[in-house]
Amino acid sequence: MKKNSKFLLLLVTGIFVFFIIIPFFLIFLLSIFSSYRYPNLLPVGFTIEYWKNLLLHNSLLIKAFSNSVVIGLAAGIASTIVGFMAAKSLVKSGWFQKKRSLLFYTIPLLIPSTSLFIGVHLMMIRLSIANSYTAIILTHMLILVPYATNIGISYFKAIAPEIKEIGQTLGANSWYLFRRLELPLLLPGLVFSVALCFLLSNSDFFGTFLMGGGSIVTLSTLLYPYLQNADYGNGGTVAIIFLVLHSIVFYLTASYSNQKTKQRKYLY
Amino acid sequence: MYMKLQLMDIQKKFDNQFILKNIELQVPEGAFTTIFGPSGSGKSTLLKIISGLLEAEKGSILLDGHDVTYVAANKRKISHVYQEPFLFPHLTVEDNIAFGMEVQKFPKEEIKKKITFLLELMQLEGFEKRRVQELSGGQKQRVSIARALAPNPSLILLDEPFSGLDYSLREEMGMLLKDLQKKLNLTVLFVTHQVEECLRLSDTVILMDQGEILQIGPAKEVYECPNSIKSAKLMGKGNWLGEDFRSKFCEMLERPLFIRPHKIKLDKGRVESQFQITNIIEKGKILEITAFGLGQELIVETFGQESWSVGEFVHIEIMQ
Repeated sequence: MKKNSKFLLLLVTGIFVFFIIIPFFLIFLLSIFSSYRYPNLLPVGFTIEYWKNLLLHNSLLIKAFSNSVVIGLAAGIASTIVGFMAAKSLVKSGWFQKKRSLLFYTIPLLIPSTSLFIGVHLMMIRLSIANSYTAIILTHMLILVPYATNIGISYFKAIAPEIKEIGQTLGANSWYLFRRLELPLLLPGLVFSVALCFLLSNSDFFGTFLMGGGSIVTLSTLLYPYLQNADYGNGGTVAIIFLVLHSIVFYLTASYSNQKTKQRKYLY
Repeated sequence: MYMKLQLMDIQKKFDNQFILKNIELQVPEGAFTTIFGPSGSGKSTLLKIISGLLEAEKGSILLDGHDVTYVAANKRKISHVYQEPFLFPHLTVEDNIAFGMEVQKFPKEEIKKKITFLLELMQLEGFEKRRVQELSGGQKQRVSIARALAPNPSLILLDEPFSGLDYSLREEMGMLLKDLQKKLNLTVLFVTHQVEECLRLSDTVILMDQGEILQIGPAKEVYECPNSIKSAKLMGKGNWLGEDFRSKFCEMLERPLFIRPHKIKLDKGRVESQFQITNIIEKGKILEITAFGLGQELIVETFGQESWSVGEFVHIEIMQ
């Protein structure tokens, strides 16, 4: 048993280092060296030019960064609200327990997003909202709502019905129950859902590019042309900024959720 | 006697099956009334109907003389305590207790006073600011009772509140509850399937099985004089006395039909004695002895001071 768990730990660490730490480190190297070509083992020509150019002379970066934050937050919050509302009614009706319902609310995940987005784009044109923030946010929501719904279901299921029943017998109406009992208990789930949706929204390139018509720049749409032109120096620099933003969101969410779990240790 | 709660012809079905059939009962004010019955007998469903969390298909509920059948749970002023404490995990002990009072907009000063009073009553002084996760099982249940008492409910329903606790704690909590009920003159409707707990705490017992009320009466009467074999069996072992036995012992018995095992005394007998021991089971300090005679089997419970053996002839005496 002990041998097995040691092996597993080693395997997981290996995968983590190989697929996350090394690529991250390589990207970092690309952003501070002018050349890293085969067959050189190490990169050559240390430079801070890429960082200087991007931070001081590239006006698009600030725009892309703020667009990413705004679209990510808006899509994350909107998807979480819709997803949690869906989750509440699914849990209340017990419908989520039926296998068919799983298919229903994961359909957007099962259809290839490229195909889905083309149809959605045509619809946005007809509604005259193509090439706008609204179009991007609505498109992201298509993908994000199922994630938020699934998170919501697990958090709603964790609240014992008796908690609300006791609140009711103590005199609380539905709004009071929601405000004083349900919402505080759901808060870690809401934060987690907004954070996950924010990260997923930020990572999307095709939907953002198509619905924004190329005029709305985000970090992922800024990054793509650099990679297409094999400009790994600038691409690596944008990628690092992208990674830092995601790491901060991830760290804040993880520490908040740890703190809440330690405080609560669910009683039910 | 003033009746706090009256149920008339309550019926409830789940999946076309009757869970409660024509329930009629009355709970006097300031009394400790217990609904006793096995699991699945409909006790918890009945409590939920009384508190307004479930709707009955038929019948009416009167609380303090007013018809509350269609009044929402949050307007009935009936507190409900469950088997598990179900404390609000994000609130402290005092916030849990204050919840009902805050909902009902009690003045802040009164809330503070009430919390202090209830914590003292529940022997939880100094626990105000504690997080509920830091409490033991017994302390959690005490907080949940305090929370239920805080908004001055007309009636308090307790659905097997001590079944998650160990034996000694259960006994202690039972005594505390009984004490509270007397001190505050509370009207309590308590649900249990523990005979001992039921007899120790209750003024009145309502015996329930399969959605029906079998018997209602003072605890001792329901235990010692059941009105049917079904009622007798629900509260433990007993002896239904046959005709031969009755003709021999009848003048000694106030109630000749049924007798509990601890009400029969055994004496050492001789060969001509009418009863012979057929089985002995040791239950800690108590011996459960089965004896046969006068055409019937008798179960007797006795403390193990004397030694008995299978095949031995014994005399029996019925204790008044």
